[in-house]
Amino acid sequence: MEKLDRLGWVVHRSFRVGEIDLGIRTTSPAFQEWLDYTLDEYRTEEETPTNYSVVIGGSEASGLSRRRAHVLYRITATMLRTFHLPTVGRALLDDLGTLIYATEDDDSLYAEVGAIEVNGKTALVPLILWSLFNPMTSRAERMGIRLSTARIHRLDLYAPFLLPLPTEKLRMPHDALPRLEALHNPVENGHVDRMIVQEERPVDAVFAWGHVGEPYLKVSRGDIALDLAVAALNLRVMKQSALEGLARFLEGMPTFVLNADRPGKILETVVEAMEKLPDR
Amino acid sequence: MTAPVRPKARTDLALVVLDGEAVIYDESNEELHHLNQTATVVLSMCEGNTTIREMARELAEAFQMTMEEVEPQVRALIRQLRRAKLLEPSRNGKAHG
Repeated sequence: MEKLDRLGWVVHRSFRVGEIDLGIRTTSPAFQEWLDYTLDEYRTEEETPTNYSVVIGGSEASGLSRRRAHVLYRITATMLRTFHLPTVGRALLDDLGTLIYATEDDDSLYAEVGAIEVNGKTALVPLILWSLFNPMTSRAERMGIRLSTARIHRLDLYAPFLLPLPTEKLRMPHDALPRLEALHNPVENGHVDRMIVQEERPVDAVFAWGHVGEPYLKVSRGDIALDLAVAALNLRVMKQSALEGLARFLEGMPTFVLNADRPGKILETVVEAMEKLPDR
Repeated sequence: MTAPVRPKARTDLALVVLDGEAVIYDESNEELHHLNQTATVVLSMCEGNTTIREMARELAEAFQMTMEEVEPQVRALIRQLRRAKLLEPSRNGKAHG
């Protein structure tokens, strides 16, 4: 945290979301103002540690000496690096929303996994890999990869689809998202460089990580089902229906394990594996 | 002489089978288990009315192996299932197997 502490924070705010008291800080007064407006219902005066830190970058147009990405940290881990400011706000709201519903809802499975999109195909990857990929957004984009903004994904119980997170369960003003869009300075030239699941999205493959040897190998759906069950936040609530849902989700799904290697090399391997997948 | 043990799988477990491999959730201790195909078959035979020797005989016939090869492996699997608490305790207070 000490490394982040030096970044010049404007303000720290405390919120209570779900059962959690948490703190959010940012380097931007404008972003903080939007946050105060959007999450007004959740403000608390309790002293809180810093759970989320939002560094707002910009470019020469905003007086900086060089173009800098916006960065969302969760504790000290990079959740998101992007030049598109609304993506930061959206990712933060999505993550906060999961504190309300992800452990208790029983209409779908909420799993702590990352997602990536490669040339129109979507794969799930272990959260630890997604975390390693996060600081590499620009490099990933050059490779034709878009990383998800979310670290928790909602799995359909009846088919191999990701479903949008029900962020509407987070109580906020109806114009919160338009106001967020209005913060985006077109001169900054940031574009949407991350994947946000805003509608039902088919999943084409699921990866595990950690074997030693070939860059990637096929692995049993049982292995992957175990990984996803371990990652499931509402398994305790859903029990048998969670496992049955996973079985249906993984029906016919290509499943692989990736070699333990440098993150950049793993990214290349993921591209290679996904390019070989049959078209849907 | 005590009656031979007839292992019985717990019926309160959440369980699915994918490609012959069982994934099991034990709500009592929030543990997850993943069984390979052989262990899944053995667990499926634990219905409380078959002895371990009978299970081994059935598997030996199915896989065309000898009892000397199969029975120790089945007993070892039953012990693992017992340690994982996937079997009901026997009537004498000990877990089957």
